[in-house]
Amino acid sequence: MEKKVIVIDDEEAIRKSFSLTLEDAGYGVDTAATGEEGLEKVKNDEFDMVLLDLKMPGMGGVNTLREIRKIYEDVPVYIITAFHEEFFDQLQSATKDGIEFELLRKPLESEDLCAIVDGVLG
Amino acid sequence: MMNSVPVDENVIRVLLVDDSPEDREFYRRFLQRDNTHNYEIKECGSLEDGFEECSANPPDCVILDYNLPDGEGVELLEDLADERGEVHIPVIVLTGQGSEEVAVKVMKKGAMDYLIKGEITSDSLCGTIAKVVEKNRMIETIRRQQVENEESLSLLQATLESTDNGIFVVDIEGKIIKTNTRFVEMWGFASDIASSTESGKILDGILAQLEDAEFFQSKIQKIQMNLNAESFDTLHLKDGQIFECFSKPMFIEAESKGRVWSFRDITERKRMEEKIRASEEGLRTIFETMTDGLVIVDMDGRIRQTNSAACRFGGYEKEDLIGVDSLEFVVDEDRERLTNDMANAMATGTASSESLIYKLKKKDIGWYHCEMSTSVLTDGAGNQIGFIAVERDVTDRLRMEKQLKDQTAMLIQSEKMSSLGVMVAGVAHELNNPMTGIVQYTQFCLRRTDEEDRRYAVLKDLEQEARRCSSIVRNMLTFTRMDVQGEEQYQKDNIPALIDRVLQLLAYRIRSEYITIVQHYNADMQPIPIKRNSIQQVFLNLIGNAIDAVHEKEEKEIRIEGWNNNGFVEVNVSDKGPGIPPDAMHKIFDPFFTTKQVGKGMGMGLSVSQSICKQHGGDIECESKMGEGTTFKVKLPVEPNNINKETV
Repeated sequence: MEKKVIVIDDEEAIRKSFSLTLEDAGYGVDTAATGEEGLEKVKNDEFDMVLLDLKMPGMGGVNTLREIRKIYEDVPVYIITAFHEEFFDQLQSATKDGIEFELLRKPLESEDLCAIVDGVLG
Repeated sequence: MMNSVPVDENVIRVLLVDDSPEDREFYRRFLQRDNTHNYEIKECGSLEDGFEECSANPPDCVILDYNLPDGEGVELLEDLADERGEVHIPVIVLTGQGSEEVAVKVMKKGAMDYLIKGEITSDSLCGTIAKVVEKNRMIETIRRQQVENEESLSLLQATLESTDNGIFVVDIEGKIIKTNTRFVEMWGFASDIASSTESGKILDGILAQLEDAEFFQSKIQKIQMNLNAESFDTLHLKDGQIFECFSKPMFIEAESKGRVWSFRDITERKRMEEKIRASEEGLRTIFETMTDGLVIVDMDGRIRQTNSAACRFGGYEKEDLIGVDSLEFVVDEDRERLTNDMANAMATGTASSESLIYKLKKKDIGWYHCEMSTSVLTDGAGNQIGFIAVERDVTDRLRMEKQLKDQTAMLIQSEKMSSLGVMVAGVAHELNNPMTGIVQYTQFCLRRTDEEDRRYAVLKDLEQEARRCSSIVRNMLTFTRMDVQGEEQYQKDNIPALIDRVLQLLAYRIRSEYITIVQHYNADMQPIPIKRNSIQQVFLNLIGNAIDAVHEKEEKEIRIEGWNNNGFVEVNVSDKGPGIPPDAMHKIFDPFFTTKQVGKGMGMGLSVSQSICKQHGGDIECESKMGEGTTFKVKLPVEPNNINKETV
């Protein structure tokens, strides 16, 4: 069965390019431009992996992560951002609350992206 | 007889006033008979003519007939009398026989003598004339003396009253002869005291006002015993006034007649003298205690006077300086400049418009920077007699100014870098997402392009260039991160815990490259004050570099060790990578230096990391051996007071 990944990022270039790369690698991909939209999709659909941006308008990456964890305790969530230092404290407190996630740094190439998703889902 | 030589060479000028020519002739003959006197005789027949003649040409003697056609002889006497009723020409009135009352009348009116007509003989006439002329001469002499005495008395009185000295004159028995108003005023006596003749009251009055009355009293007693003694004393009054007292004996023809006491009020003068003395004392105190140095130099350039401050600057004693050529204290390279400046000041005759700084020698060793402003010194006539230089040791000030200048330059540089950072960060953030898109879009296209297709190579190039851009963006973010976060506060943090968090951030790379991280920390490591995000950045950078270094190595081990050393926490990050070439070692902390291939890094990381450590009062050092590996040594102070506030 096809594994499904959701890319939650306010940046269209990221959503589009990640979709192209992951679809080519044989994954089903859905995207959301905001945390709220992503959460809605996660509620209504099943995903095997979440790629999540940190800096987004609206509820933001860390809060989205917390909300997702309320629905899925164990779905792998990779936070892909250039700005993780800024959100370090928020992420730390999330970790302290037992919320699991991994960090990836932008910019990110197709190869790296595939390697990570393959590593998690393969 | 007429030819006989007169005893008195002076001719007696006689005016005969008689209306009878016969009588006149008669008298003339009487006079001519006198062989002891010569007479010059003039005759008038009326009162009017007589008066005219007396006014125009006063004779030595007038023979006046009592009865004249235009009046009685007494009228002439009235006309001739001065304002005091005195007649200065001797007049002999001729009266008739038996008219004694007329004689009394004319004598009262100022006639000097009278003769009774008919009883006149040659002898009586000549004798009377001789008598009255002589008598008049005596009277006139006395009158003249009287006037002279009056004049000199009035001069004396005026002098006494106009002098500023209080004068008090006593006779030999101690009775008051004279005092002046000033004396009464000075001693505050009632004005009627001068009218008493007893000096005892005055003396008591004086003694009562003196601070040391006994001394003055004994002095007076001593003087009174020696009539010739003179004295001079300064008397201090109880009310603070100060009088000088002179005493001089008064002699008339070697006979002591008394004593003059003269008092002069010198209170104001003494006060002025005291003021001047105090002001001189004050000036000297200022001169000696002022923090600026003062040096007075004569026209030959020799030091004439200095104050303590001027000596202190160079560690000299006054004896070392005074009389010595001032140029000897100037270092060789400044001597010509100082000489020129002095010559300029001399030529223009004015003070140097600005303070000039010279290097002056110290007594023992070394020199100090002396800021000097010079003025030309002139005497009362305006001739230049030297210079006065005000000196200040500005060695410390100059050093601080230089330090401040350096610090300001550094601050400006740091500000520049900071605003550059904000701009670069903005650009990098904006570029980050599109660059990720571009790289992946290209890679998508590559997957769908046959390698034989000419477009494949072009897409490959596009991928390569896009990757380069991505890499630059990544490095820009590394470089700017700490600036973007603004001024961070120091807070205590544990370094091993901080490194753990960094390793978490790098977990993916570590795991995916199968790198072993070995950590060892001494138990004595304690939390230290740091800017947490900045220090995190440092270790992210160093460990990131270490990961890059071991990338192509078989044995992928990174060691992180920490301990306390002498007030510093030290952490070594070591890799077994290829090492840094020796010729590159001295450049690794330079910004924009990189050993990485183009596109892999801009070389900002180590420069930024070192800045951060220095800002904390610590440092980063690097040891590397080609083929064996590299160790970066981070040093951070344990105490916040070691933190260096400067941004290096």
